[in-house]
Amino acid sequence: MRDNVAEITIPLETEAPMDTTDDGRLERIYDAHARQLYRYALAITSFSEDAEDAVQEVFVRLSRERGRMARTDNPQGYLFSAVRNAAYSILRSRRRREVLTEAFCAEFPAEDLSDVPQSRAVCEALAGLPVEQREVLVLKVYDQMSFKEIAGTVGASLGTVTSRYRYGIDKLRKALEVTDDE
Amino acid sequence: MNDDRIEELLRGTWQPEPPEGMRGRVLARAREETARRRRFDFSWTLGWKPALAALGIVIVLLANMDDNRREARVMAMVGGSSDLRALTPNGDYLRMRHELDAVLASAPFDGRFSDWAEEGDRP
Repeated sequence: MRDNVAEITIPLETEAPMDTTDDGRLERIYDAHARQLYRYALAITSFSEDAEDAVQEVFVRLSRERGRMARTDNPQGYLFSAVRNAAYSILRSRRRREVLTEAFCAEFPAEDLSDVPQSRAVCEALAGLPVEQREVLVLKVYDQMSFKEIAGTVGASLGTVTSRYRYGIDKLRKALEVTDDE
Repeated sequence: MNDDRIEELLRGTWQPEPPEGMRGRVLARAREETARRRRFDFSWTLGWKPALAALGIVIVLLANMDDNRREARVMAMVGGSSDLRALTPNGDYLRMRHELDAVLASAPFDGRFSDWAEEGDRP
């Protein structure tokens, strides 16, 4: 479990010199952050192609506004906020506010779904959460962000973010306990 | 089931990976944008000096044309001559002045400068 956490922690050495003055740096930013950004975008849009579009949009913007990320105090926060804006923009434009569980759960490896009995329940419970709660859970659970960092990323107050996490985790608990009972 | 267990379950089951080929697509599009941006920067750097010079020439020509028209009008009014042609459909102001002089000279003159010079002549 610890290894898993270490794997998803953002590598600090990529944060300091992050600007986009050359393609090599853009590639380094991609290699360091794409997985997390994609996951976050997917948590918002629920569709793989929409998540890719959101990440694409962020990198195009990075090429266009060279050096902007380097000027921010929190480059990681900048990336997450940018991908959030892009993902919500896609969500609004395509009117796909509802989550299609099948599309969302397509990201679960098939072998996991059969091997771990709770996988399907986790997937469906996560898919069933409102997008605002789901994104907070993803940032907290996967990206190990503090509530303060999450609040900065999603542009909400600390209290709001904390309660979204609370509601989200409670709903997941209920869904998983129902599965256990069955 | 406590929060840690739920988080652990989440991490252990939902692990989305970027689709195959996404890296190439994203970076290619970003490179395209960088190249487009560079072309725009280059053309703007290269082009602003000639554009400014052309604008300066146009301003000078317009100002000069305006001066010429003003000079022609003034010269016509004071009866002077100018080699500049007025921009009217009937020819230059100097020729019009000469035509007016000719009309006045051909009219009979009874010694009075105006029909209204004397009270009794008022209609």
